[in-house]
Amino acid sequence: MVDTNRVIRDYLVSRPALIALVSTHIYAANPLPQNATLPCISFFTRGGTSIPAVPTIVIPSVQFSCWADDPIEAREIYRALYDELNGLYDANVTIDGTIYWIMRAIEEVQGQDLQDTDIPKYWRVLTFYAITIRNF
Amino acid sequence: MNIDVKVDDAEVRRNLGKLTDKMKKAMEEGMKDLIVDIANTVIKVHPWKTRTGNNSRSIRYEVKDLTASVFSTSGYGGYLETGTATAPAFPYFKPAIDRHLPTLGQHIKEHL
Repeated sequence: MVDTNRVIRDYLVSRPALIALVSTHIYAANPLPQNATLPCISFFTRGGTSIPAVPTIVIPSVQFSCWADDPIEAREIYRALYDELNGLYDANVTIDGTIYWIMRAIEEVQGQDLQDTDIPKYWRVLTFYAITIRNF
Repeated sequence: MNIDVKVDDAEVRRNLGKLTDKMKKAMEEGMKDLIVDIANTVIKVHPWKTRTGNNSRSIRYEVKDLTASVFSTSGYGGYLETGTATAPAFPYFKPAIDRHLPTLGQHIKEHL
């Protein structure tokens, strides 16, 4: 089965607009790693669906958190993520010689601006995507 | 040869009105069935180990016309779903919705 978290991360770290904002600080983690450097993006799969008749296609529902130490920067990261992901159609990611296909990515919920309850100086924009992924 | 066909649609319209009412009622009842299923799954199936059961007891749901809601009233149910910087997320609403939403059509059909 496709490692969807790896496909998503590899795709995101290949996007120059995101790298410009968060470098390679894009974590497939829940919760945020203790040594995480802000600004950053963390994500994990919260559920989703699959198609029984086509087992090579999965549609994880992914929670993204765009983290920064001020709310404006967090939203700037969210906007860059939105530009890269929402409406994404037909993108290839090659991992260890295998081609994976991000068929579609659709935002499920618009970003929510949140101040973290545990670390008040941490701000995040929370958003969710349904991402259809297939391996050939 | 010339054939004239005249359709009196008054009766069709009358019955169509009944059908629409019946359909709306069935959709409302189907929505109620669905939201109860989702709420039950939210309460019973969650990835954390229950210590007090407080959040599970706080789950409520409501249906108004064709809109249904299921929600936690514990004050921290949202943090369980989405996590914080240091506390992991335990999604339990979204998987419950994913699990039961495909049955909505069947629930509506049962009330027709």
